[in-house]
Amino acid sequence: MSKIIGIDLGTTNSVVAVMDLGVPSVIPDAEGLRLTPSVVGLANPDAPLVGVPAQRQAAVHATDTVASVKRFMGRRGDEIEGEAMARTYTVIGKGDAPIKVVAGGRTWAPEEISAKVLEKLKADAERYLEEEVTRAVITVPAYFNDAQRAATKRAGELAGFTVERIINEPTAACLAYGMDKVKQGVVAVYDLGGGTFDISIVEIRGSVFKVLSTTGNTRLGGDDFDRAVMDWLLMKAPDIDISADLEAQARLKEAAEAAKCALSTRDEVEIAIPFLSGGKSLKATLTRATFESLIAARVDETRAACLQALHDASLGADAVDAVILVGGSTRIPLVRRVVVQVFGKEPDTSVNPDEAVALGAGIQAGILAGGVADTLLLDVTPLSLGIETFGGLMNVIIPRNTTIPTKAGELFTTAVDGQKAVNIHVLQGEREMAGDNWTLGRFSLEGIEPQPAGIPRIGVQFTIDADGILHVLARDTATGKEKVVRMKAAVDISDEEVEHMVQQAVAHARADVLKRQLVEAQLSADEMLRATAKALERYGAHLEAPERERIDAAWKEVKEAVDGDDLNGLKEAKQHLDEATQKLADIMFAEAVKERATSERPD
Amino acid sequence: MKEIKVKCLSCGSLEGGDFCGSCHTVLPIEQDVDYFRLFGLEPRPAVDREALKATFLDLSQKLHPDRNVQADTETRERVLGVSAQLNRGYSTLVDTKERLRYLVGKAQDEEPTEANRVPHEIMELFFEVHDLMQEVDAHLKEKRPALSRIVAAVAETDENKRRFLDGIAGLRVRTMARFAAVEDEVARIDAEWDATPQREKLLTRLAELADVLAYLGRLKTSLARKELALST
Repeated sequence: MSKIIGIDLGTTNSVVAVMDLGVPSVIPDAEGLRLTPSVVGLANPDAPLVGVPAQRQAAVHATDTVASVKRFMGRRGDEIEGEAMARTYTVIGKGDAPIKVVAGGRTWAPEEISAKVLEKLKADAERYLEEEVTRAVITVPAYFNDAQRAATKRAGELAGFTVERIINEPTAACLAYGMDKVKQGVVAVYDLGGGTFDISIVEIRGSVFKVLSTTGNTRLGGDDFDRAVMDWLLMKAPDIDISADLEAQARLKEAAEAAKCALSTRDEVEIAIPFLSGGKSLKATLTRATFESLIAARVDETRAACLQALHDASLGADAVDAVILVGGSTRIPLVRRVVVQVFGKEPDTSVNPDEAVALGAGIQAGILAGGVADTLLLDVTPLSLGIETFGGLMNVIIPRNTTIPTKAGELFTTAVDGQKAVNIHVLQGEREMAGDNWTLGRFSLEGIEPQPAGIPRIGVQFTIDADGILHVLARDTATGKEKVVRMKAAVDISDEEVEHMVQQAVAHARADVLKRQLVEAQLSADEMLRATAKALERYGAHLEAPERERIDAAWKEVKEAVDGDDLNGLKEAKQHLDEATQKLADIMFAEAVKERATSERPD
Repeated sequence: MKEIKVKCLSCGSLEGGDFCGSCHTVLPIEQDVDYFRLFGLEPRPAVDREALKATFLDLSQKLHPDRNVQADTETRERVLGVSAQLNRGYSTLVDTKERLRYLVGKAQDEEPTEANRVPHEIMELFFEVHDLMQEVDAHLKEKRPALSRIVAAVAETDENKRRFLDGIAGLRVRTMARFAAVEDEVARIDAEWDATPQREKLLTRLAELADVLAYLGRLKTSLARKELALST
């Protein structure tokens, strides 16, 4: 039986680990790196480049180099509208249709591209271990839904693996954390990576790791912070237009990312990109304070998720014994401050934020191979599973945070006399209305004996397996016949449609994006104007005169720009107002804390 | 804890629970397995949560799919079913509302359906929460996610928000007190359990308590949800 390897298939980087004499260790790739960039070069689709070699040619073959494809795994067109991530390749897919990537003169399903990354990891691991490797444990964000998990599993299979288990990234990291030390109690795993955010609350008891709750956002991570820096840089250089220059976009992203990383240890950073586009160079100084104001709103979203996870676990922040940080974005000081604020304690830094997930996957591989005696992981399903019922409501069959594997049965019947088939719409999500949730699929129970309405009884069993993937089995209780139901997951599209969509995507994407950005900027500018006026009215007295003047000037600037159509000008004005009001906001937050202390809350 | 001996269907040896320690085969559990029996317990209103959890973790160690990856397809299918039942059984018994419904359902051969009326004993609390939630909703309607700090700061210092948060905190304390009162009453009924051969009255009351818990759970969730919406 061949070795099982553990793979952290990340948005930005992927890492492979394997158990070696009872200890998990990371396997370097062919270039000698422990972190393999999840970048695939498809300029020659028959000889794809993966990792550093792909990165090296990214600037030259910008449109054929695919990075962060994980964000599109198992997704449909209508889900990524408004996706503001920085990318240099074309994606197509509208409405119900699955997302496809266009590169190297053809279209690809996201899992086909992920499979290229996995193929390289497989080949490199085989070279290192000097044996064939065919079995793997692959990690996914805990908040991935059924379609995203299934797509990941398919990517593994396309790469030639038997995927022994799909496990959740924060849970894997927790395994790596709790494995080597005798640690007991409740652990919060805060995982902010390149593209996704997860928070899981895990109880370690003896050698059992039981997940109590998990939640997250599969579209929040370092990529969004890069995007924010890119937008800011472009705002600073209004005479450079790179919207049609993908090579320049690739260089800009690289610079933005480097600046972001540098600001984790420095207070300010010089950004210089010579001859970025049209012979023009870009130069700017970004301070940590400005960077933080650019990403504050997104980072704040993680706070709400943490509170939700604690509530779902029926725990207060004080019940958490340790907080561990996973994912490269947790190096950002602002992120750490938010974590300290929510949990009221400094995070434990004993795990390596880049490698913990892979090491945990390696441990899980060891568990499955029978080599790690007592350790056991009890994970949960992150999203509620249900079906659509009368009035378009979602009827929950398996609530979120249910320990997996789990099964639930549901009886269906007919609504009219002689009806021969029943249509069932399976959903995942937390919203009350069926339409607001994610459609896992629809299936039809056919071949029902014609009988008066309400008489037939068809039992449907929903099973969520240990990978978090759904299986449906239908049983006609009259005949006792069983049938595995295949759900039609997403509508497949024809080649012509694809061709048409490619053309449309290129033609309209830019105009659409700019228009939407302008509307969004105007809305938030309006809101800032109102908020600033209100803040000045109530707390203006706390300000020194020059401070006040600065705010007034910035306020006027936004007011004048808000109704125009100069997006960059408006963004810049907003940025000035944001910077000018930082001190006022500080004063107000401090007042709010004071008020809270005096009103003294029970509980 | 009482251990129930089951004869292993595979090798015939007498072993405890649903896992054969002699031939290491997971035994099939019948569709409508008794959850109390699954954990070696007598059906009754109260459980020792810590002991239940210990048994659950212990059984999971043996019955989880991770322990049977190498087995043949048929065994793996069976393990999936057994493990799913174990997980459901635990979540049913550990939660007082679910446990009471299950117990009443077993005794009356039919799972009680939840009353769609607010139980009389928490009516007042229910309306107070309801009223506050409506006010909070009206307040939140105007709110959009803050994209700049000054917008967030204005929201943070809003006096209505302060009042709402204090109101929610007060109602939460009262909700939690009701939860505790129900648990106490379940413990009292549990104490009478063995000495009462005719349990109809007790069962009726337990079904009512399950409804009270269902409504209290909803109140707690909606308080938490609104608090979260207000503070972020």
